[in-house]
Amino acid sequence: MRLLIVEDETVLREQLASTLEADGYAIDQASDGREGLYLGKEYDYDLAVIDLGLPELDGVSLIKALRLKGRNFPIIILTARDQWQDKVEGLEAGGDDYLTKPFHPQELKARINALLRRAAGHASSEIDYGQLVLDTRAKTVRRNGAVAELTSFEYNTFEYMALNPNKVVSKVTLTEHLYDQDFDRDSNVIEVFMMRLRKKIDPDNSLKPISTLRGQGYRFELKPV
Amino acid sequence: MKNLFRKFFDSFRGNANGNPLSLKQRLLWGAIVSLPLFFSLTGFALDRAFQRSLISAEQDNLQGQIYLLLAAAEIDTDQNGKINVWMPGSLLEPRFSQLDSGLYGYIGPPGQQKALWRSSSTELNTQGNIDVEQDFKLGTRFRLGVNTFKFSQDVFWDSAQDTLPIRFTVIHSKDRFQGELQAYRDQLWLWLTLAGVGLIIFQLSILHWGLSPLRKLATALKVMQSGNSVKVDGDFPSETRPLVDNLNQLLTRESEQRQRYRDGLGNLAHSLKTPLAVMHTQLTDIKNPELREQLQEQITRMDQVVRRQLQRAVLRHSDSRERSPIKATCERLCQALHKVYRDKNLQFELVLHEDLHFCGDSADLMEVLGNLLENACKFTQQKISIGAKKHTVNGKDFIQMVVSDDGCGIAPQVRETILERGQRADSINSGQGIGLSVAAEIVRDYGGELHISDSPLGGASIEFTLPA
Repeated sequence: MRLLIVEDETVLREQLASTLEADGYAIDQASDGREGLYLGKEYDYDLAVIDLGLPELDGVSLIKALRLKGRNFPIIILTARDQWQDKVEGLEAGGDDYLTKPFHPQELKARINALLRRAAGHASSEIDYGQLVLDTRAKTVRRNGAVAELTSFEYNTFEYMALNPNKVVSKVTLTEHLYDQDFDRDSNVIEVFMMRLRKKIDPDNSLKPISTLRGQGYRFELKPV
Repeated sequence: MKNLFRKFFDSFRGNANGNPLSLKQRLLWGAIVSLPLFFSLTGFALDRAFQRSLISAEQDNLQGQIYLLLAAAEIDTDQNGKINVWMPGSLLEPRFSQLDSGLYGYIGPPGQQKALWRSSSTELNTQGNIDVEQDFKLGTRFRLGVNTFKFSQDVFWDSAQDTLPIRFTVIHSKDRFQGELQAYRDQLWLWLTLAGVGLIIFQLSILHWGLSPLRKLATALKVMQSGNSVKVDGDFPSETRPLVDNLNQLLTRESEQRQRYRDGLGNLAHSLKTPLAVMHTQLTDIKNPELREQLQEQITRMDQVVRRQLQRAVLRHSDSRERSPIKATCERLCQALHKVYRDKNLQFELVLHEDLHFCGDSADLMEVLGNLLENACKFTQQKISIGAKKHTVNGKDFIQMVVSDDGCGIAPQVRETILERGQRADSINSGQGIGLSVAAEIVRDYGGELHISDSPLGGASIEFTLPA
């Protein structure tokens, strides 16, 4: 999942980025509203975290501009002002959730998780595919009740595929949403990950959750029960 | 009686409520007191002047009668020195011959009781006689009696033998004079009274017209106070325009200052809270759980202090002139919160009328409702109900509002403490835990009350009042 963080306070922005990166998210950072708008318009993010008090272009205007450009990824508003007026304006502009500073990083992670899941159309944090269960809160995949031992990249790959079901996801898209920009896109790392992932969650190759479409990419085939 | 006088004079200082007299009352009292005084003096002066001219005319008239007598009289002395007066049987003035006509003529030497000649009109008259008390003095003498005018002329009459001192006297009754004077007075006072009443009515209409800009100003101020306008609108005459302009300038400056103050505090909040957020995020790097917990507690405390103090500083505008629509504010908040708590599929029920307004700052209203609705959203299963009604108590309008949910409710024993600063009934849920107490504080700032009770939906019900 590729997230955009727009926050003018460098220390906080970098801390958030590293915390979220540790959880396997790919993070782009912007230190002001104008940069945030450029990135938001240029790239397709899965979610954005936007501070309301931004230099150059304030948060509310940034959110409005992004929505106007047809960007419909979920947006979490960060605000230091506790005024409801600010929160309501941010939500009316197109924000989906708000978090008042200071906040616990776990709280932000939980909100991000919930919004990503909600964006994929799932109300619960656990998505049940029969033998396989994806738990977006615990960030685990269970097969017949047993937790599959996945690295965070493997989990993220599975989660991204599961939250974009029945869609052909190209390797390039997958790379963009899962890894940082400096990642070497020519490598066959994605194929390797996919192979390992299939082995771990479907060792006997009976479920076939992710199919390969040659020359096009991958598709998540399972349907929630 | 003494009290009556005191009341009367007190009424000049102010009305029964102790307020000073209105400008209109002052000017009206001035006119009511000065106009009769002016008309009395005018009446008196006109009366005197008319009386004087009447008397002067009377004097001329009587002088004429004396001349008539002088022309008609023939006076001589006999051998014994006795003076004899002859007058023709009928004089040019018929009133001398008419019995009790009011005009009486006497001829005789001064100092004698009995006149030598008296007109036939004096037959029944007892009123006057020839002047006896006065010494002879050549010339005329005019005297006003109680009921008569008396005109006499002393002359030296050259008879054949001697030069005789003779006094001609004409007495005229005042009846006609009094009648004329009375008729004049009747007319004079009638017209003066009419003029006075007319002038007071005229004065009233001038006052009404002249004070209309002030009335307009008062209306404009009322409109502004009721929150329907942010400045004093309208065209005003040059005398009041500087006042209106200054007032508007003051209002604009005050509003700008308030906005600057808010922005300043908002920026302060931002610059204080972002470092706190940084510290919060860094806590995860601390391995010692005890230290982490301690730091966490301190950061939370600092955050609460900052939040609370800034909120108190920003939200003290109970003297605001704004009128904030309650339903529209509720709808905005419900839509926003519905988005945030989408997973709960919340059902908001708004039982309130479109035209209900909160008389105060819109940001304050949003703060109260936002805090209460956010709490309700956190704890509810699905249903949240918002009700508002307008009430009038002792002539003051206020809005009674209820926010209730179907959540777990608030235990009676914690209801009091939860309204105090920084208390939170359920520490599992996110939030700074001061939302309810902040709402209660704002409500109290506006002179209202906030109570927690059980909701018919099953959860908590927050009832509060706000000025309408």
